Amino acid sequence: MEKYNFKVIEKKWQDHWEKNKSFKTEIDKKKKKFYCLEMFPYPSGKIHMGHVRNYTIGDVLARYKNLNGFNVLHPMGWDSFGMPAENAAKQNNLDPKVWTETNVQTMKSQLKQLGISIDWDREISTCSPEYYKHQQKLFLELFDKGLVYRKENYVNWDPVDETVLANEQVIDGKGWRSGALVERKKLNQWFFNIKKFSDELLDELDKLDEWPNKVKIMQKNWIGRSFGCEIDFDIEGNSEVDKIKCFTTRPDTLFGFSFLAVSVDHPISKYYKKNKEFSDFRDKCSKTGTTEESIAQADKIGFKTDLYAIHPLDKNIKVPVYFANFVLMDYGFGAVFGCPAHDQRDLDFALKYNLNIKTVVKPINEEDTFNVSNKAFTDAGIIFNSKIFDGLKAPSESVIKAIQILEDKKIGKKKINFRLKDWGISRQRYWGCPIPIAYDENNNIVKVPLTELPIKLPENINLQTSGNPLDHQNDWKKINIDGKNCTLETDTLDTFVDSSWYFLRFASANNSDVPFDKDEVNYWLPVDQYIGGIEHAILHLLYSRFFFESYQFPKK
Amino acid sequence: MKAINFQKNELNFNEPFKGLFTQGMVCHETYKDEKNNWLSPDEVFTDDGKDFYKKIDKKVKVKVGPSESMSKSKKNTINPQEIIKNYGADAVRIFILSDSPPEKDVQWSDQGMVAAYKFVQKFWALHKEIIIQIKSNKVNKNHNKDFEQFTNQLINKVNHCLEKFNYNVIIANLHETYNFLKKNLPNLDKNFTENYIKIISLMIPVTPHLANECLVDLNHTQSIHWPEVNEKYLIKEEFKIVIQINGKKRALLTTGSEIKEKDLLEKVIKLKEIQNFIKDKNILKHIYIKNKLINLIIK
Repeated sequence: MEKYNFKVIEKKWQDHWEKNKSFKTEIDKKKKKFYCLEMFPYPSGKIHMGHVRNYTIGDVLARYKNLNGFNVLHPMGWDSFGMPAENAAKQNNLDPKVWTETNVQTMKSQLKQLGISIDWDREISTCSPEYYKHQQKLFLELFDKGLVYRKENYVNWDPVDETVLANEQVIDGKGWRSGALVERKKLNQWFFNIKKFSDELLDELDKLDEWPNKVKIMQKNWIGRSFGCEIDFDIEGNSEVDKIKCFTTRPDTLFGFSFLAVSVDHPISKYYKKNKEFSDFRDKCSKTGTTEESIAQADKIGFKTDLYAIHPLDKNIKVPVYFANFVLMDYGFGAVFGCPAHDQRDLDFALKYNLNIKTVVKPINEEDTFNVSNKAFTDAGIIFNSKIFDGLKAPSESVIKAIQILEDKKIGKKKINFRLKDWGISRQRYWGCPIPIAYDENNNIVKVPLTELPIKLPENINLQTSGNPLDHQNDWKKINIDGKNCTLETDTLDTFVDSSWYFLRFASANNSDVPFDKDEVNYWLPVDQYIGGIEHAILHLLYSRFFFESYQFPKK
Repeated sequence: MKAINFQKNELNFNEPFKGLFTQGMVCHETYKDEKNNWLSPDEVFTDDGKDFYKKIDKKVKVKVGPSESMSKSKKNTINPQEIIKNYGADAVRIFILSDSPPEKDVQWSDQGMVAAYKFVQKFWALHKEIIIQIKSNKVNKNHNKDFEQFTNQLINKVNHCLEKFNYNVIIANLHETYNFLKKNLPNLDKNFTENYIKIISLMIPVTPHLANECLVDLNHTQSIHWPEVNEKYLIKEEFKIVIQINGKKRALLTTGSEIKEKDLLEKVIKLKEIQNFIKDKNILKHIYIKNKLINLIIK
């Protein structure tokens, strides 16, 4: 019996598919479409087994739908900007472009050998000017809509890779690529105003009935809509400070109040500028990153001020005000009231600094003698030791009721807060999409005119520099806009920007005039089945959803 | 800020990704030498699958660690290029889909890979025998309904698996198919080819090269499409539901699968043998055990 000679037979069919362009797709309005997409790979060298699995799963579906008479779009591209190329190039004295393109060729040939039914006529690569010129245009569109801005902000600084990391790229307080402990640093950064769409991004999740629940929950938690209250606390001890505003989700535990903690960047910090101990403390705080994980893991440390906060419902209660490393300026108002009995973090802090622990929520069947000592009680229960709040069911009744009372007394105000922060998109890196912005001689922001796009990356430059190699490209940085001498922005875009719209580009991959054609996008999109790893459940999918919202903004 | 006229950018869909599927990782055992340096699978060997030794120094015992997601840093990777070269793309596709549901992690196994390769080989051998049979015209003139039944049930199962991403079950279905064909090789009938083409067409998504090559032998290379299920050949699931009144059996009702509780109750109430019991009485509540029993509590 003859053996099955897969080498010959598989090659024969792969050549056949290639020659006949068997998987080429065009719009056919008489047929039902099916857009099958696997998350495009980073061209790191060769395909790995994870790719084999991902693309085989997608290919099974694409071929099945195709045989069922669907007009199947099954494209492939390369997420080809990013640090590995720059690092590899630096180490081996190569050009990142050459390194990347070699890898693309290798991986493309490997995918063909696996028999994946790709329409290669729609291949895209995010590092090619053909792709990123459209991205620069889209950036400027968002800029015009007021969805892009620049501000000085604390960033997660990766001291090894010498770059800024998004919160999503910090895992357990460490850089997701380098593994180095992340630090806090103040820099001028570009941001996308993703926070603006918090409600939409959250509410639309409920309509995604073909998404795994766990992914929706992860996104929900990430956006983190919380319902709470802002409270003004009167302050004593310094004539310059009379009030501090806090945000809390648990105003019902107000009688368990035993300290007030503010961020080292809180406006009141200006009164402590000359205090040596305070500046030392502030330096110490900068060793903690800005993500919740790194804050949660870091030792809770505080700096006691000479201020006292007065309980808004009982003027006799006065508690100390601390600067603390676990409070950040960009959550709430950079100030929280501490209730150690019902928040573990507050309890850790109180035990460390010997602060009062007053229990104000007890389990339903407990006596009034119930007392928290070293484990915060955070379950549902009954409010006690709290005067007017006594007897309320916590938190179901008590939160709403507490807000009502505080509003009536004009001490507080109902407020919805989000955990989601704006998306920092600046990277101090060479191998990324240049930001189409320049600065005039007075450092004013100037948009690069559309006629000047794309702003191409300079090629074959010296990468053996400190910080961002683009900072050292003096000729490249010079640009004349409307007769004025300007300097180009040297930050490049986070590569998550590249991947937050590539699925739209596949609909019009060869259109050099526009990022995508609306008719083509309306025919092919949405992606009917998107397949990829759970590790992208938050960042990539949320950014893509944001990008899609912001593109359509403002809706009429 | 000056007012800017935006072009209207609304698109006719709300979310970019309608369906999302998150697949699991590919895992492999990890190995370390006596100095706690990671070793790649290529650097170790074993005779019995229990004790592992270093290839370059067979006296050095290797510590076998837990199976973890393949990563360069732990050196527990398998190079797909090598595997495709040794076993072929179709075998790799079979293996990578076979052992676990796609949403779960899958363990790399050399034996599993070899088994997938052998399956491709033995399927091809069987296919060639089938072709000889078909061409010899020695097929049975009598109609053998088994083939229709098997084929249609297979289509039904595979459709179901494809819609639900149970791709590992499809691989199990392929093994069943092989066994069925092997067993029935002597009994091929005149309708066999028609069914066989359908079976092979079902294999295209998983093993596109092998399936297309088989179809060439069957002179079926044009307008290949997905086969349709003929419902006539599907086994209809039936359930005999015991009907009780206050815990005593009073009747039996036969239904097709998936009858809704509400519909069942309506049917029960209309039954003659039940109506005698319930007239002038109130049904206080009912207890339903899916596809088995319904108990009406009346007073």
